Amino acid sequence: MRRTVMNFRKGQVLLEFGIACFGLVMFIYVLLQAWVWLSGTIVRRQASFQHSRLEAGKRATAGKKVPYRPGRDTPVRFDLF
Amino acid sequence: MRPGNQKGQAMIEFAIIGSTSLLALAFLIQIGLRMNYQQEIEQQTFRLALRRAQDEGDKESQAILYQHIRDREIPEPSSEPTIMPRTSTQASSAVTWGEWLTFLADDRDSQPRVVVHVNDTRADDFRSGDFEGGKEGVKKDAPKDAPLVSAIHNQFTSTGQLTQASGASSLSSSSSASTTVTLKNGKTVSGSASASCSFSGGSWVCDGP
Repeated sequence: MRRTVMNFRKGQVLLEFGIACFGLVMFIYVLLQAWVWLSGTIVRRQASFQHSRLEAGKRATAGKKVPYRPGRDTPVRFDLF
Repeated sequence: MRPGNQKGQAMIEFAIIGSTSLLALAFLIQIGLRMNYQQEIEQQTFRLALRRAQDEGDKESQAILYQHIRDREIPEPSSEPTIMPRTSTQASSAVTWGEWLTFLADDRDSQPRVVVHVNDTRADDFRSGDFEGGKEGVKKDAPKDAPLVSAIHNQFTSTGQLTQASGASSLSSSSSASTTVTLKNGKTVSGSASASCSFSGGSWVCDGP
């Protein structure tokens, strides 16, 4: 096939479309991961609060702090590959 | 070669999509952190009230009303880079530590204790009677159900500095909060929080809440 201006443009559009799709997928992935982490910390902290209720109500350990710490117990991870 | 106007269009598209995407991500982080901090302060306030109620003496009411305010660092998409603005979170909790029925003398100790905790300051010498109508600082005909806190004054300060030099760059950011709470009886409780972060030599060093 002869290399024309039109063919060259078609190739470029395809390349741009591919890059844009990849960027879009990556963006949605990062957005979802961030949302999953943020909502997951709320659930885990609530579970931790429930599990430490009995201890927090005892005289010896009254007001025990909620043991869950988001950054340490659930590190932010983006497992891409 | 592309015509000049197409190149310009691509640049505009990229600028719109890129900024919208970053804005969406920033808002998600902001909302997520705000929800997290709100949940944290609600749980923490209940546990602090529980602890304080247990610490009360046998001749006290062992009942606590705990008012807690914390100014947390939450990034905002609208603020400048390196700036870490603060947002106020608050919760209140009421706990009665009752293992048996008590019959107390009708004195100050029999009244539930009111604790006001603002950032690093905890004022715990108030009693519920201090906020009744006719007491010092409270009007005689003041409504009984008026809120404990009548006003909150926040002063947040954030600064950031990005230094670029040949071979090395550094970034430093600091934020502080000073909050004054005015109670129903006119008394005030003030507390502050401050934190600073710096990035240099490939690692972050942060301190403070």
